[in-house]
Amino acid sequence: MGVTVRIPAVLRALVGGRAELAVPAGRLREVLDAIGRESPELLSRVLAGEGALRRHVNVFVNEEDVRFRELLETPVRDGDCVTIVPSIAGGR
Amino acid sequence: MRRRIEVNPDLAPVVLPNSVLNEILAHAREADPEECCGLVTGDDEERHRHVIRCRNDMTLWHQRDAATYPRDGTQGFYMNEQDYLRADDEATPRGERVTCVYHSHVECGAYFSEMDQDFASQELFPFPDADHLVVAVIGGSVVERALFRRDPDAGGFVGRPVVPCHP
Repeated sequence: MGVTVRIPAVLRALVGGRAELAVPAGRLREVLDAIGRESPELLSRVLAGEGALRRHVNVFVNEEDVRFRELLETPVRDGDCVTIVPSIAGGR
Repeated sequence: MRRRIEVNPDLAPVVLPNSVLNEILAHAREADPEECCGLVTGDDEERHRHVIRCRNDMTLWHQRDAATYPRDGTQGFYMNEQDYLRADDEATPRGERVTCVYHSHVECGAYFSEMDQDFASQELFPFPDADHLVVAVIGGSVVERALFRRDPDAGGFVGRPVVPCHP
């Protein structure tokens, strides 16, 4: 069955215009590795050089932000949806 | 080091439909004392057609992790991701796109802050061509509004006055 990865519009050009990718289940780190094999450029927009999530990029497994789970060790099961979401924020 | 950008009153104003501007001003008043945030969608024919209110999650993030998110919703906004993804999804079938990101400032002016610019300029900002509308709420009333748009000649964002379009 695998995992569905939703790609935000601003990054779709890096994966041939696709809105979703299908990758095998595993820890989030393994899911991102699978994304990186399809598009190293996309992976580089999600992870910083030291392998951590970039500051303004959030990754959700279903409805849960992985920063409040186990970060890159968050389990991602068959049928789950991973969403890559850049932040929109600001203030006075 | 970025500096805040103020509206330039000498520039030609941007005209927004009354319905769009009124909805945004109402959102800002209702959200007071917190900042509001949302999106405007439109197309090439009419750039500003629909307002989509989004939730400001900054207070939630602050309560979860005050070290990373030192501000609460009175001093900043953090647009709920599910809200903005849904807005984008709904706009696409109508042939529209997100053309403007709006938010309010509470008890200060309608400038484009350093923090606003940091997020709007990030490489992955989801709506890189969008305008940024900022409205200022002071004492419960909207007292100022300005629209910030990229200007290649200026090397960054430029602030313009905003006026309603009376049919």
